[in-house]
Amino acid sequence: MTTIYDVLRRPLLTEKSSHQYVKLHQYVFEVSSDANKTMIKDAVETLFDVTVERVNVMNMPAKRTRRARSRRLSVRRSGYKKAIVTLAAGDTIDAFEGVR
Amino acid sequence: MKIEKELLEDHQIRLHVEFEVEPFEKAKHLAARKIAKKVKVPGFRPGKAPYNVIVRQVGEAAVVEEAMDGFIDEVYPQMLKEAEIRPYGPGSLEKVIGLEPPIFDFLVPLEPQVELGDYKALEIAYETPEIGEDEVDEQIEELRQQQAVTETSTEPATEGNRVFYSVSANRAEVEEGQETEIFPVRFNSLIIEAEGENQNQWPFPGFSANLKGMSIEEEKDIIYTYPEDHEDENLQSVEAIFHATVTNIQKVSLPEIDDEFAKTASDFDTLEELIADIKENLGKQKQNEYDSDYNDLVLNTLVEESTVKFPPQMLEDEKKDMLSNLEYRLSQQGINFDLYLQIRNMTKEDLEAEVAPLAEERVKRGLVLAEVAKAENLQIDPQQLAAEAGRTMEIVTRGMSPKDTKEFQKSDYLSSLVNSIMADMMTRKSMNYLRAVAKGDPLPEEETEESDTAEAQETPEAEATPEETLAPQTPEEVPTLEAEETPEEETSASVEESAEAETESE
Repeated sequence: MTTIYDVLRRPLLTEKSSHQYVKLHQYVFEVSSDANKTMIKDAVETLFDVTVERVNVMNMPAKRTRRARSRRLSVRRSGYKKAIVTLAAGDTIDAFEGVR
Repeated sequence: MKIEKELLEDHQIRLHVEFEVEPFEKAKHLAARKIAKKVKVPGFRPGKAPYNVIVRQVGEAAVVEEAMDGFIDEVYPQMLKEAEIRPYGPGSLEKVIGLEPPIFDFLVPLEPQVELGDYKALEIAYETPEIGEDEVDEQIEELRQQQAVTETSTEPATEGNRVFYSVSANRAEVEEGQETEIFPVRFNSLIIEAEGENQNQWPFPGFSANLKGMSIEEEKDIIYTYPEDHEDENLQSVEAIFHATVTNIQKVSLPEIDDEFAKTASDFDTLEELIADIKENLGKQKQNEYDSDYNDLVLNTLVEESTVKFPPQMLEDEKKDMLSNLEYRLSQQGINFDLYLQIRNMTKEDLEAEVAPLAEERVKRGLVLAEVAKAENLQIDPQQLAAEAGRTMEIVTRGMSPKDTKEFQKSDYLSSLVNSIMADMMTRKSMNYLRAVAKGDPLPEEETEESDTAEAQETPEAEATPEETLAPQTPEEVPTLEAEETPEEETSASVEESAEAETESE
């Protein structure tokens, strides 16, 4: 049984995501693969004390990549579920400080 | 910006400055940008990570550190302006007291302050040095020695003979832990003189008297006790046995002092002319010596009467200057600086301590002179500078190919050369002025002014502002500098050329 505390794995901090939260008011998280939009909404609202307007989720595909040192060996990186959470105007998540 | 000033004893000032937060924040953001380019942050291309991410990645301290440099560079001049300080050199950040808001302590060395003594009232008697007859005689005697004819003699040595001998020395009484030998066999020669006349004999004063009457291949033991105040501590009051062997005896016949002697010893035909020449040279030499002594005296008196305040950095600079000078001179002699330290058995710190008082004096003198120049509004005549620079150029570039010369003229070295020539001339001018004041002569200024106008009529370039002509910092201006050479300079150059041609033809 997953609780709301298990839903959010980590905030995704990339160039793209930082653009999203600065301009579009959207915050991006990696979430547990069995979470659905409702669970994510609940989790974000309770944990960060904000109002969630909309949640988009997507499954990021696993990717093959090479091991850093040897060229031959390829490694599979597991996929994950990504959630883009749009907050109500005025609400922010201080994602950099971590989960409160 | 809030500034508290605190004047320190060593002519530095401590500034306690509180800055506004905003510009500092700006600096921090700028710094973060810079860091972002160097640091790899996952999820971001280099240089694209935002401020917060950077701070989290590398830590606040690193950002502040990076920000500090840029921030201080920016606010420092403004700060000095607000604090109304004229610094001698770059100040240093002494302490960071707080960051919110930023409060820093700076340590700024102040511009040297010179309160001149009453240099106009300076009066020091100037005596023209005189040449004594005995000094002339000495010179002539030296010439005679040089012209002396020697002849090997088989008779026992007498007064006036040159004796070649070998000598070794041993201690008469050996205590424990001492070596018997003072020095092994050495060869030397000397002229036997009347007793007690010459103190410069080796191995001890009055040694020649012992050789009197000895003939070739004769051996002799001489006992001598070193004086109590001998230079070498180990030899004080030591009784020594010198074993001397005469190897050769030469008769020395000195030429008579007459016109004939004058002819052979010099280019002059008569003795009178020779003596007159010696007198003149001696006079010049003495005059020069006295002049520099006199200059020193005048300047030192003035320095003593003036109050000079300068920051310790200035002293450090001077010390460094002196040491690098020394190093250069040593390298000219083929001695490594480290080797020199080894020879003198001291560390660099010792040497620095040694030059410290000298450096202090030099700083003081330089400052006082500069102040005199300022007070009297002495300036360098651009014409003279051009001439001087041209002359130096001539010397330096001699022997260089035209290509090298051109390259040399473009180098930075040239501007520093001109600068040093300028400084040199300035010093000389101030010194001459001071000298004239102390001596009570008419001031040299007026003369130069006259010559200024005279030259100005000859060449219109003299009207150029000093700055323009004085500071040929850029290579482009160099040709102008040379073009301005005075006719006098050209002649001297051609003389040098012809002299060179002569040597070549030889």
